[in-house]
Amino acid sequence: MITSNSTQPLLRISDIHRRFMLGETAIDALHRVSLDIHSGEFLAVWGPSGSGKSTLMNIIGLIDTPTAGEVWFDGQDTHSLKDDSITDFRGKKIGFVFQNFNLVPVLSAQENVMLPLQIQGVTDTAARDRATQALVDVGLDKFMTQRPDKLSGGQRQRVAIARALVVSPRLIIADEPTANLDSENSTMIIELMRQMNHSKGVTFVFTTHDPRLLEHVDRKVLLRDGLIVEDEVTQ
Amino acid sequence: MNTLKLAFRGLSRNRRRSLMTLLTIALGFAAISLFAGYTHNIYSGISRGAIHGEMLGHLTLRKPGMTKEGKLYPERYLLSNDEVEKLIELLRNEPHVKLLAPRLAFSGLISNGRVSTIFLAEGIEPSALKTLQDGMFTQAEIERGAFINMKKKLDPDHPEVVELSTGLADLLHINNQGQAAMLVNTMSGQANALDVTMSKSFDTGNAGTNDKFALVSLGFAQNLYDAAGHADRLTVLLDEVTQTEPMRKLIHAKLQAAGLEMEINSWNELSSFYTQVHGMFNMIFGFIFLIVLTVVVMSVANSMGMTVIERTREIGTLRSIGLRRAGVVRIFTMESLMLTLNGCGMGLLLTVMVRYGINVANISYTPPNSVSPTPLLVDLDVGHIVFTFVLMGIVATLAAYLPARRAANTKIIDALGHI
Amino acid sequence: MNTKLITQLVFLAGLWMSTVAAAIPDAQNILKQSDRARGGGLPGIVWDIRLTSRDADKVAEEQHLQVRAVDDASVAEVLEPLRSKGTKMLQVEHNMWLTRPGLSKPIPISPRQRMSGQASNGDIAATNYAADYEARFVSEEKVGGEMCYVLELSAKHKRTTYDKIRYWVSLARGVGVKAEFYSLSGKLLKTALFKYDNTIQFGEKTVPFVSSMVIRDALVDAETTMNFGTVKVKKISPSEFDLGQIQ
Repeated sequence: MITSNSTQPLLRISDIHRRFMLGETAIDALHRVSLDIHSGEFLAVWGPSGSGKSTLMNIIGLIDTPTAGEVWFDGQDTHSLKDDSITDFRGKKIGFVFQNFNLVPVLSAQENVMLPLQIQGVTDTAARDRATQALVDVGLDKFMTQRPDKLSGGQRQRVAIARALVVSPRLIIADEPTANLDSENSTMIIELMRQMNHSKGVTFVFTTHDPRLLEHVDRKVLLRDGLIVEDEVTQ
Repeated sequence: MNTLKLAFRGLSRNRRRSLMTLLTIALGFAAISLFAGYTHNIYSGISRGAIHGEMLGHLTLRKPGMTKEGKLYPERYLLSNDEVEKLIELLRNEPHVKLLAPRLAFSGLISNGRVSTIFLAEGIEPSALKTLQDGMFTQAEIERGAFINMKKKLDPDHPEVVELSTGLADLLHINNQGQAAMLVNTMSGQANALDVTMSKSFDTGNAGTNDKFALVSLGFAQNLYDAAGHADRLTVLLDEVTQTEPMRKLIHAKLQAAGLEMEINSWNELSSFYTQVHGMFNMIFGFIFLIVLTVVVMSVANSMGMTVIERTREIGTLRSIGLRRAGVVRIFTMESLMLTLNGCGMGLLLTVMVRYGINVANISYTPPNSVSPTPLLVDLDVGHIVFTFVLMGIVATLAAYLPARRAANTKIIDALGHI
Repeated sequence: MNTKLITQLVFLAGLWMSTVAAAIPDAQNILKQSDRARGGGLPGIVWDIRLTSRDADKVAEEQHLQVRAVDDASVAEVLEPLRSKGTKMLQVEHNMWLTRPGLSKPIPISPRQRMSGQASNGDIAATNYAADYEARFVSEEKVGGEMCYVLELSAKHKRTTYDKIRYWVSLARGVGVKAEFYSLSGKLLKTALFKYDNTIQFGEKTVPFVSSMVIRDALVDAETTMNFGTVKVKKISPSEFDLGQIQ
């Protein structure tokens, strides 16, 4: 188990409440959720369908704002930030890996990985170098110039991971990262992410149904009906 | 961020849609450019027609009040011999002045010995007539040879030899070298008449005057009208049509300084034909321009709207990885701009090709109020082409702006969840 | 020297002398006298005119007019045809107006408009040559069997229509029998032939008066014939020629 060097958590969410309005009806996806995540952790959020996992991920990933409660990320109160500031913050500190890979189809693997750096304003040359390195790290340097439609599911997810890693984020959020992969690729991806967590110290937070992934994590947070019912450190 | 590359790649996502929109823009652009080129050719032709054909020159100097009352009380507004000489002396050496021609117009009855009919005559010095007509045709038109018989000539040694319009010659059954008599009332009301010989006839180019017009020497006119040395106006011909306005100001100032009050009119003010045709074509052009622009805007808006919807999830992804709202807008507006500029470029190519085709096809037509056919030619109106490029670019960018903004303002979680 | 030659010379001399003696007739006076037979110098005349005109092949309908004239003014009223009845042409000095029942205002007729049509005859029918023209005796010539003074009339001012008139005045009767009207440039424009079968009372004398005028256009093939019927000498009040009261 890797624990953070500082006692201050990387991410603290306190008393998060998230309500959605569907027409006249109110749906409370998260009731009163509080959670601390420390740097270097490799943890999973799991639970039945509709438990609020995705909502929690979105709030952690700063792509959704809670109806009530606070989110502190790397010492910064994100509640007070404006949209552009949150966006910049997110781009630098958080990486995303999606269930559906979400690569830009008209860009090559390398160009996809360069994208978050270019958005931040990094020069093309520097971006290219870092992207190449990231692809090497995930073992896809031979497929750099290929477009996503020429890559297998597993390869695409590896590109996505490279894209997430290339900005050297503090946290990577992966929403069901193995859901669309066969067992062989799933295992491969899990091992890759574990390796990244160990070698680079990047914090990983997943949502998953996949028991194999659950076996690999250090900590499991169980959500049911918008509340944390279990928070188990396994290793 | 390399928006340009992203924009270009974006266009290739749905090749067919991009191509359709591109073609729409190209055709619209070509339509506007070709029509602008056509009207440019028309304007050039009718301006030369007004200046050299109607013999208005570039500027006309008259006594104040002549345009209003001159027809009723001509004797009050004629320039005397001294006045004409003074004007010529003053303006002769001004830059850009190519010719100063005193003119005398009058009307009366012309008879062939059996019947008589009304005529309207222009008196002008034969040498001035020649100089005034230089520059009437472009090289292309001369090569087409359609107008050679429209240039007029007067013989300085034979003032009684005149040219009559074809309709008038037909009416009185006068052939070349045929005789007729012109009968007028002089300024003081006396009857005066002189024999004339018609050298040849000409088309006035205007169905309304072609049965009444006569071209005579200034001396003959002055003699017939009993107005030796007089003129009703002074025609000023310049070396460049672009000098019309600057020279008008200069001449006005110079005349005022010399204590001469004169009414100065430019050729486009005096040629009602030019003004009307110009106005009409301007209106038609504006109309066509608006229609094409509307079609282009709708096409681009539709295309961009669909693109944005299709790429909602991608937009969500980009926003997640750090792209600001403004960045999203920039991507789509840039795509639209690229599409439009490429469309305009293709349109320009199309314009050049079609223009070439039209110009070599040797098409002719007879415009309204005319008696002879005109060649159909299309110029390349660079000014309008550039204007169209710019305006289309702006308009297309705006057309993409709204859907792009809508996309940028969509909540990320909604965008990501979009199928 | 030859007797025959001397006789011829004497004959010629005599002829010449008689010519000289009779020469330089007072042309201006002759002109003035001839004006009288056409209405000049009278307090007023009223007469009937029947007018026919031909323009190339077209013969116009006959018009019946009544004219009242003094030296420098005249008013001609159309009596027939019925549809033109009431139309009046007023001439005062060198100005002319047309009026018709139904018109709100009289229409001025400019010299230009007088160049053709009926209005042009007004200038020919004018009675007062002596006031407007300077007469010069040219020669003697026979017209229609009658010996005439040939006078050359030059306009005294520019307000006349014809700058020059060549006028044949009968020696015996003192009336103008033929006239040729010339433009400023010396071109023949019209020719007129006059007949004097009417008579009027002038004081105690009975004077011949114009009975017909045939005007032929020199530039086009057109001719107008005016037959003057009953002539009365009558004082005509100036109000008859008042433009304001003409309708």
